[in-house]
Amino acid sequence: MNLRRVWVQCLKELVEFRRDRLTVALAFALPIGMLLIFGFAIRLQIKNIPVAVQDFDRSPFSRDFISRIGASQELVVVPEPLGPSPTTILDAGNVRAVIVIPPGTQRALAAGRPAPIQSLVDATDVVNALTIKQILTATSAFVGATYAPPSAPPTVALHVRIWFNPGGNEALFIVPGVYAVILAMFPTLLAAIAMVRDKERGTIVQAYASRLRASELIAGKCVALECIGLAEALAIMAIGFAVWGVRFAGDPLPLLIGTPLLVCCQVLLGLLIGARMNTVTSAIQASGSVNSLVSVLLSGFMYPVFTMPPFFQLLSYIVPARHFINITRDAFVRGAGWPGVWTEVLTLAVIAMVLAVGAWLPMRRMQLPDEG
Amino acid sequence: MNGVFSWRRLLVLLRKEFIQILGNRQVLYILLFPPIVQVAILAYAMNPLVKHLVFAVVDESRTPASRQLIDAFTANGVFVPQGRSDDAASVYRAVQSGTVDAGLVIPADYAQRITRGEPGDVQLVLDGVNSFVANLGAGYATLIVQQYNARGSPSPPLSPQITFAYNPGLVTAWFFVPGLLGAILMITGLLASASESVREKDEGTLEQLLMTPASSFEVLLAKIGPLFVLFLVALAASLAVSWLLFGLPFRGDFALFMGISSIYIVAAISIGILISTFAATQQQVVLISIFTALPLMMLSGAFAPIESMPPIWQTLSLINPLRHYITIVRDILLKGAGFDVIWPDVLALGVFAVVAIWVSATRYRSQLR
Repeated sequence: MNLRRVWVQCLKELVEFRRDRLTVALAFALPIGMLLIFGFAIRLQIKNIPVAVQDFDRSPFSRDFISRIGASQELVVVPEPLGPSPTTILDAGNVRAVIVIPPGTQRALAAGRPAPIQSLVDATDVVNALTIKQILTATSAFVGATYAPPSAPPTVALHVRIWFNPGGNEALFIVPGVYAVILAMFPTLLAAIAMVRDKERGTIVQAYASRLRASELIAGKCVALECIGLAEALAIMAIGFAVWGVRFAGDPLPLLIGTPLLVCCQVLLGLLIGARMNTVTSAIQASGSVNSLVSVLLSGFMYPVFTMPPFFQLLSYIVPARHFINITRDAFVRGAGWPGVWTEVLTLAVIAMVLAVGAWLPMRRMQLPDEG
Repeated sequence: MNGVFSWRRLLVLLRKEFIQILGNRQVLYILLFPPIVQVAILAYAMNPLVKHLVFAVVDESRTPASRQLIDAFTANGVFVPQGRSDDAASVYRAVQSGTVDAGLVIPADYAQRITRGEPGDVQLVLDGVNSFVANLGAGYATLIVQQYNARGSPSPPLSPQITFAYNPGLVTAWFFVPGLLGAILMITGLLASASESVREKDEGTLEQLLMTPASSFEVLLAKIGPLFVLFLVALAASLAVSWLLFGLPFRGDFALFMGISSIYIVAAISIGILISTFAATQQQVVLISIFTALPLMMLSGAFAPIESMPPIWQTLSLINPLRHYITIVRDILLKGAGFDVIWPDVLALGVFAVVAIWVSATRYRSQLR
């Protein structure tokens, strides 16, 4: 490999990038915009779910019960008339659950008889439904104990401590994940287009005709796009710090090594897609929709990887964003440093090497594809 | 402008667009693959229900009482024990490095305190990096201990009877398929239409097209036509696949569903065309499309409930066509809702589609001036 030719190819790529003002603006404005939108708006924590209570008991107990449900962050009690059946109310779609407190509940409780509170829960959203169930069960146990005749004192007192993010500040969980999603998405897109554009315009023939080798072509493009990707990384991480105060929790070195590796993986993936596809449209579709969806949904950005079916857990090992998310969350939240993440950094390096070979293979002959 | 609308011209243009799309097998594959295969795969793979939290146990008490408590924790599969150790520090280290999600510490005096009639203190340390999971874990643990404390007493004083409506089996795929369907139709529809129409501009054939007697409206309709047909086919196929794989029910009216889906697809394609009028190159089109589609997708209630978002974003999401479409699909498929329930969302979707077509048609024509 001739380093000078790599360098020239890299320069050519950067000049081409810089000439297109709008693309330069977009390459930075879009990631930043996305960071702001995602960082402010995505909340997985269930909050303010509207539920209706039909209180036929009208007792101190039922009032206590209702106010305790409303006091939880998760549920909001919406007044609903007593007339319509729970099914009718749920079908209208304004509330996610209808809780019915039948008459005589408090008396039954005081007498030590079982007192059934009924509830119909909209299970369209399964997480919602289970959260509602959890809160109802916990509230019933708590309020029920106050109104029922005293039973045996509790034998176990559980003290729960949530580490690393005791305030449950969700931005601290979401924002480092968004870093990974953004860096998985934009460098790949730019790389795929950079590769296929030459093909579509026919200018690739000039590269084929020159003494440039496939490895040099790929290395040159890769270095150029790596620079752009790293600049994007720097921009979004600076903004994450300024807006949400996301700062290093421990040793920053794994992140400093991991970020270039991730960008490298994503750029090579983009080059690979570009090398395989012939038109910009298809390259875009492949890198845009498949890559970004997989990076968002299968990387553990939203739902933890360990809840996926075993096959997909295995599959997610080849998703670079999955490894990088562990690195960013460790660097910005957990702060354990190398012992927790050295495998992730290593895996990223391996993926990068595999992708480099993958991008080189279809280009290695440096020729137009044979006709027919 | 050349006034009257002509069916013959439209048919000719439609034929051109169909030939263009059907002739490119790569494009065809890329348009049909995501809605059909990706929806099924992602719906199968994504699972928001937290199970199998790996936790380490330190049992310093080593008594039957403490073992009983550990059994209670592991009984229903939410917590999976991984190794036992004798010293709390090593468990803290394991949580710290992320090798386990939680650590349960039962102190040495646990059993003695219980025999003395005092509550035995145990400590659960949770990895809060994922605050969503940590909170669910804390909730489960509290419930487990509550039930553990209540054992022995004849029946809990107050137990709610909970019935799950619409999805009694709590199949998560039933929740995800409508969201994914809407999201993927949006992202593919937008990208495909945007890049198809900017290519015309890139290659200079747009000028030829706009010089013909055809009105911009006709040109636009012809552009939308083939994509529209393809996406409707993909939609029906995707529903069939979801029915086969997950038993996804279809409780509502099929014609109503297809009608509303048509409005939605037209809206998605129109946004794509609108984007293409702002961009000069493919590169710009893609960047803008992805940037438009992802927030629309994440802020639609497809994955997390709208009610949990900050209030401003909840209001903003009212102009998101995806939000309305997902609500409608869930209502029709799972609840069997009719037009009387879903009309506000249909109205919002319809208004959005009309505005999108009108704006994109206007901008499309004025591009060359």
